[in-house]
Amino acid sequence: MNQETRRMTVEDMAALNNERRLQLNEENRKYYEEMLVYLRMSPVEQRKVEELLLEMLDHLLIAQREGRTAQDVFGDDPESYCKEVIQTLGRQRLFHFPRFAFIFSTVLYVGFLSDALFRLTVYPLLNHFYGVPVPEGFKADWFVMAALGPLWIEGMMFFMRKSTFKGMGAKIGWFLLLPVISVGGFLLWQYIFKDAVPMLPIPAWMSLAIGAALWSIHRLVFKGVFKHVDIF
Amino acid sequence: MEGCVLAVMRQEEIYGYELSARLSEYGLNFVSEGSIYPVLLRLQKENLIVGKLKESPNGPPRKYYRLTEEGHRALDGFRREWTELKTAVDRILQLGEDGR
Repeated sequence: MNQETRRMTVEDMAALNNERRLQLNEENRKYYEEMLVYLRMSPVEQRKVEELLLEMLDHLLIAQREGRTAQDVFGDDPESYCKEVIQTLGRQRLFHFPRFAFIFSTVLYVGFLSDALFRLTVYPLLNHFYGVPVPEGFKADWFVMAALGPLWIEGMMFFMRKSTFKGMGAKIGWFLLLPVISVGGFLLWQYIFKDAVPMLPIPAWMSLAIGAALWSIHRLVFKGVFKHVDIF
Repeated sequence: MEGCVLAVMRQEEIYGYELSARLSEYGLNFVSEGSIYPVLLRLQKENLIVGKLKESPNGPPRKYYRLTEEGHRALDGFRREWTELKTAVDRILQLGEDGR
């Protein structure tokens, strides 16, 4: 009857979810998508979340055909329902090494590449027209940003989760809180440590080379050697 | 509820919606249908059941559940406990009837 086929990836499942979700009516879709955001933004294994989301969607689609609503199926309090699910699935530890390594290396190669890009193109132009001096090295605060990256992602997930099951005003409020905190934190950092952060004396072309090397290693590790490891 | 879910799965491999329909056919109605999913997650965590996503020729891929060895043992345990409890409660109720 049912043949077993290759294991679906998290991406396959998310794509199938996007496709099948179109069949929901507006009321059910709203209800379901709030749960979807909440569960996807929770610190649990993503594979389990996607599997569960597909099951719940399948259930809801059948119920919808039979004239029942999402509220009939999942109850009046979807937030408590989701919390129960998360608790049962088991929260991941805040420090999950593959995720930390992934985000750390991403921020770092982006840092080196954008440093090279700015010093090779943007700054020379600014220098030419406005006399802005071209920095002579790589600002070490990229390392701090790379280390804080995982925490920032965690924060983003927390605020996204907080924005679900709320009215429009509260949703937007929660949604904007993180950018405000981040920009505020960044400015404060700049203000306090303006001159304290060392500048690594490397030329722009070397930044470019380091960025490219980091990028290749990042790809090799996460898309190649450890492809099967769940990062998020 | 856990015991009932295990009992239904003993008979066949089953997916979420089918399971909730089957349970309500037997007269077991829960607060909401959706409450079977936390139960299924718990049973998987305890290794009493396993679920596998399978593609089917006439429908979307679905996660089908079946009992594990441990699940079979847990079901036997549940059955024993339930029979004992049922006998005891029946006896107590009978006592009330006789005393009237």
